[in-house]
Amino acid sequence: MNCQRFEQVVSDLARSQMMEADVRTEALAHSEECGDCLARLRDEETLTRGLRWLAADMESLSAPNEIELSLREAFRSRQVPAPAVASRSTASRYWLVAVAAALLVVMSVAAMWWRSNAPQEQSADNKIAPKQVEVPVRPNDATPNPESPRDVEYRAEAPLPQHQFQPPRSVHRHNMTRKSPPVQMANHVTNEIATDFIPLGDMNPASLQDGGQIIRVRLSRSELVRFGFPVNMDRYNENVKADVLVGVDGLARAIRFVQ
Amino acid sequence: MTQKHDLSDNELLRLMLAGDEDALAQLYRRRQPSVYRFALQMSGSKSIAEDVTQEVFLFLMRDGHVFDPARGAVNAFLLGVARNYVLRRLRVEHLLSPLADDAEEEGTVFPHSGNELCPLEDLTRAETIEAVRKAVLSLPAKYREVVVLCELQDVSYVETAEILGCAIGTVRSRLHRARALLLAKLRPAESVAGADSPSVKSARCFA
Repeated sequence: MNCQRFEQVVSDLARSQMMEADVRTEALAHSEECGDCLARLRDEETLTRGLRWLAADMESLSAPNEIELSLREAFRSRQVPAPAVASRSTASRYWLVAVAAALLVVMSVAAMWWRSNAPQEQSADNKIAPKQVEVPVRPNDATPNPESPRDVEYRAEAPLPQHQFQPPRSVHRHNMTRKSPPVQMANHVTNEIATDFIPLGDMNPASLQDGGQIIRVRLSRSELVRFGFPVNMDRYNENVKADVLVGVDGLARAIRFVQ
Repeated sequence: MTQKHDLSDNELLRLMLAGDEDALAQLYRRRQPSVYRFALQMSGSKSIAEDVTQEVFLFLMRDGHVFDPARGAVNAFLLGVARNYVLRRLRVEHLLSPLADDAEEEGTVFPHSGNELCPLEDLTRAETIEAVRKAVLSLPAKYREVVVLCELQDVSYVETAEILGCAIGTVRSRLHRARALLLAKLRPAESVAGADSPSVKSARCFA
């Protein structure tokens, strides 16, 4: 054994810890030959003795009796729950978590539904809020009007005074309570892509201060050429949908095309 | 109550959690000395030791169901809880630094033994105990707790590793380092230089 190896075992040797008999014998033999390692062993033994004296000196120490009394009092006042009660509280905790999770799911679905309908509310001008005036004249509606112009589709929107503006969510919740037609409208609108409004003539924004209406119309696809849009000649005869912004004076102010 | 003397710690804990006050008393009387001494040896403060002892058993009353017998004995569990409370208190009260400074100022409690002399033989037992106590308190917490558990509480390496949540090898190396620090603190100041690194000079002896 050399000094490095002796250093590794000197603590255990001084503390009389269990170790292999051969290692102990070799370590003791080394300490007989090496004065420094012997001194090291003596230091460790002295430290061990000091620590044991300290441990023995504190052996009789214990907490004051007042602590036990206060603990027993606390035990009585707490009435530490029995395991059955503990499991019940655990079960109720699971119920609370389940209810919270269900609420979270419901709120998430509601938020997604609200977000999916948000473009409908934002499509209109800030001044023009959607009004629940539906003109269901679609061909597959229950009460079609065969004599109506080909172009008026199903919806009209009218302005509301600022103080009467209703939050969009409440409007949609109201719509949700209706029967199938409003739902069809919502689905229909959700998938639409619209261009920006294109002014018709010399549109003055001030002329819309008193409000206006957005009217959904169907136009011949050839009309797109007039506004500079490319037209697929194979579908030249088909119709396209458009929203016409009509002022309170009844004049068309702007148009946008919807797909 | 008398028949509860024969019950194991686990049984007493189970009864206590079921509402048996006598089981609490029995378990407390059996285990509070080691908890109290551990807290006292770690902090050097009776008031902290008393507070920690009370907190540990209040914790046991409140959250004793978290004890897992598969992970160790009740005593190790209690000492682990006590350790957390002590370290928390020491952090709050900043007791670690002043104690270390005091010990360094007082410095040389053990005369250096040299080759022949015993460092403690010229000191009375009481002086030695006081010197060792101060030296232990001046150790950094991670070394102090190992010394307190392995040397003063006579806890095995395995249980110490459970209490500290570390490997047995870590316990052994920390204890080795802690003892070297203690020796350095208990030697005269002039021989302290270099004593913090107790590794033996490799060129000295290869017999």
